Amino acid sequence: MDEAALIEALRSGDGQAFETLVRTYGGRLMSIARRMLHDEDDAREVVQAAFVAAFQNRASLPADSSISTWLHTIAVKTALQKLHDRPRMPEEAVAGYLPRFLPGGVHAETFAPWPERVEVALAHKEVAQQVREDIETLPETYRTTLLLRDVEGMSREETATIVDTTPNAVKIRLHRGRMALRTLIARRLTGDPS
Amino acid sequence: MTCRDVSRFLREYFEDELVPAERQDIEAHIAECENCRTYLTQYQDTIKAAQLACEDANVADLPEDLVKAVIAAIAQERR
Repeated sequence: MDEAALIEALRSGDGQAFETLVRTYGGRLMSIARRMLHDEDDAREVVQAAFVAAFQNRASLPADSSISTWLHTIAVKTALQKLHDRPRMPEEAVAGYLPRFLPGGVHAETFAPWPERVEVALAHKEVAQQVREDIETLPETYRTTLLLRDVEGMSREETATIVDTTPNAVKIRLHRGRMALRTLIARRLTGDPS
Repeated sequence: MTCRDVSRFLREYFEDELVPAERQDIEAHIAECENCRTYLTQYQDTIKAAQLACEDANVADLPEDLVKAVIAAIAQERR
């Protein structure tokens, strides 16, 4: 079945088409859920909920759309609902992780170089786990934006649509989220509070 | 250009959204300012770190038990 025929069958609620969908795209959805949640049980729940949501919203699958893009968006939204329940720092706390400046605009801190190249550091499982924890610690708006833009590779406009904000707000949140995450990672890697 | 200005425009710098004059100003500043050079490198490394930390090395077909559970859940919806 080609993609156009599959879309037509999905839109009509055909059971066989949905089985094809699950078998063809299930692995990719599981991968998205794992990247965002880092928990196998949560990822399985999200995959199941995402396919049920896809069935419920089958009429929203545009006839000329890509199934992969449509499902990716549904899976990301479902994973974000799951992430919403996890603990994280309050929104305003992000300010404490942004760079500080002296009068005249000079950095208030001196940044210690990281001891290893980032590819080498992240090859250690425990460091990768710590970075995942650092991402999860970020306030929700920054965490979500960073995951969608830098991890899922979604465009600014797609991210803005999913989180119901403007592309300009996405730019600001992404920049602040990255800066806050840099501080958290730097503390892990160097023990330096800057 | 100050360290604060460089910090403000780092995202635009990496995503190539600056006009040539702004880009040159940032490059002139980081050529002189070791602290900003370190920060800029770490900003870029943070993006890489997030990608590497979240990589899923186990991309594979959905386990059959989950395929069956999903299909059953969709069948339940259909009723």
